[in-house]
Amino acid sequence: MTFWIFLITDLGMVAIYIVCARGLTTYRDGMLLGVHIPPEAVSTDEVQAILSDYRRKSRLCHLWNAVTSIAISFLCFWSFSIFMIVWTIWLIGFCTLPSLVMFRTHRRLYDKKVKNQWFCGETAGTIQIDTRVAAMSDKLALSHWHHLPILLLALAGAFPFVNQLRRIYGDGWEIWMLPGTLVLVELLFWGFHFWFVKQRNVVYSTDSDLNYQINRLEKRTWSILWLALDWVNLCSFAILFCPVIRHGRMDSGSLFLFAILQTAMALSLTAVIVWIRRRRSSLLAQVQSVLLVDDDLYWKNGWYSNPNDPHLFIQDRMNSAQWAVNLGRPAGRILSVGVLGGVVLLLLWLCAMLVRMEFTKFDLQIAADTKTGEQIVEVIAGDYEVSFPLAELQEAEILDELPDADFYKTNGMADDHMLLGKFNGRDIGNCRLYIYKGHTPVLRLKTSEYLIFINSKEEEEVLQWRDELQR
Amino acid sequence: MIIRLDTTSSVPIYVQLRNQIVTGIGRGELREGERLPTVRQLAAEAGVNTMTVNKTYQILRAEGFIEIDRRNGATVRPVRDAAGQYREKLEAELELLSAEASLKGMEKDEFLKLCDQIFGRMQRGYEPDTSCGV
Repeated sequence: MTFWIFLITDLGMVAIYIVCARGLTTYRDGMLLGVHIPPEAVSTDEVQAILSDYRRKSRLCHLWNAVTSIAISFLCFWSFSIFMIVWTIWLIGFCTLPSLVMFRTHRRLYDKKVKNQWFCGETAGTIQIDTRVAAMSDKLALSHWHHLPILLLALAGAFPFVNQLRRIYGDGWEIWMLPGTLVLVELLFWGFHFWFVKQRNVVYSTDSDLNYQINRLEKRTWSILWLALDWVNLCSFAILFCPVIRHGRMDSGSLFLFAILQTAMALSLTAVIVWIRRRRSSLLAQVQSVLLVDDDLYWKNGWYSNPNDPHLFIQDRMNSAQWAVNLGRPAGRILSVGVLGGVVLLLLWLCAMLVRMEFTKFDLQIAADTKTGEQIVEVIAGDYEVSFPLAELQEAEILDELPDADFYKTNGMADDHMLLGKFNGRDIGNCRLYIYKGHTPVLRLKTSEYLIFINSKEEEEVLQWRDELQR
Repeated sequence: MIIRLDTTSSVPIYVQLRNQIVTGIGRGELREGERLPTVRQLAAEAGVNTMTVNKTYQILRAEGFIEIDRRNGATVRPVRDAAGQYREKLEAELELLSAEASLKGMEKDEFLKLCDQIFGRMQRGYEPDTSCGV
């Protein structure tokens, strides 16, 4: 399953990059590869040479990314933590390589433009405002306050869900993960809605009616989309929460429906981007010449850097569905370094944790407390270690195998090789598993606080643990 | 009307805004009675502080090009110069322009022809709405 999830995700990401790269090589809105050049310059030998070089290099990049992603995915059959380390390196390369090729080509084309004086439209630093569109800007989109009832509904649904989880699994930060994700995503959609609506209106033509039509088309469509996605997201989480609230467990049917709705959301987002682009192009086809502001100076390296622009985020010209951070502002630089550094650190921490979890051998030791002299039982593992006084041990029995209790992971690691962490089993309830799959016997320990199932790759070691505990 | 602001210019933004709105009214690109964006809307579009736009609107109101009221915001409402104050201002500015043109070697006919051409671009016979007591 892990293999297929990563393989499909990786190849999907590569496919998205291919579509984006292809879009950049199409002359659209007076731009090629994100550089404004006059239409007559597109067919020149110099530009065509840069274009074909970019196509060749990005094709190689995408081919490399696709082939390596397939090869790397097979690693998860061997070791998940090793796979995650290699996959993290692959992900960094996947994001960096095509971007470097694009930035370099962008700069080459920009230098060519400056050399040939291919400037068009208003000069950099010019701000165009259509007073009629600006006067109606409050009526272009749906109000972002429409998200408030959705957020309130999400909060109203989250509390019974958390109460039920608390009843089943007890207190712990894990029970807040799903409702927290729901509220976070709702807030994110609200934020996107707000940001898209507050974007500066674009002046395409001297015809105010046309400017109004295009800006209304974009802002209204985006606002409706974010609102619709917010509702669908709420419904998908409700489908996930309902069986837990009613029966205390998630069922596969609700998980499947949840996945279907989330996929539909991603697909509708892509469809809307394509639809807006086509609609805008057909509206712009009515005008002889589009009013452009040639602000390539601020994009010359492929990213946006304009210290005179008070905006921190602006629409990315390389990909209209993305935001670009204004690196000309100190806050933009701090934010970019912070986010990138944060993501890299998070990935490194995740890899280190997985390695520790996978390669720390399960062990059981009895040691005396240095202060009280009390005998303490310590279950040693990469994570989710527990310790309790030997006096509190109520039962210690050897089982032929792990009970068939349809264990459900609440927090921990469960792959083809091991079960580690907090689980909930049918008729068993909350327990801790330290199990190497395919190895027997299993030692079952019960205290007033914990129910533990632990085994080892060596059968004698498990028997030895039992003997030590009984002694 | 399309306003173009040059953020790299030494001319302050509020002056650029004022000049372009006046030119727009003169050319008929902004019609009498047309509502201008609110201070907040225009500031958001221009990426400037609301104080800058407020300053522009106050100047335009004082000069008699727009009206501002709480309900409708800023509206184009040019008022004719009855007291002859504008004539005095124009004379002073024309004197400076004439001096510059003369010093740069421009002939009187050429200067007058240029004035005539530019004045011709303006919408003539602007009749202010007197229903509001103007």
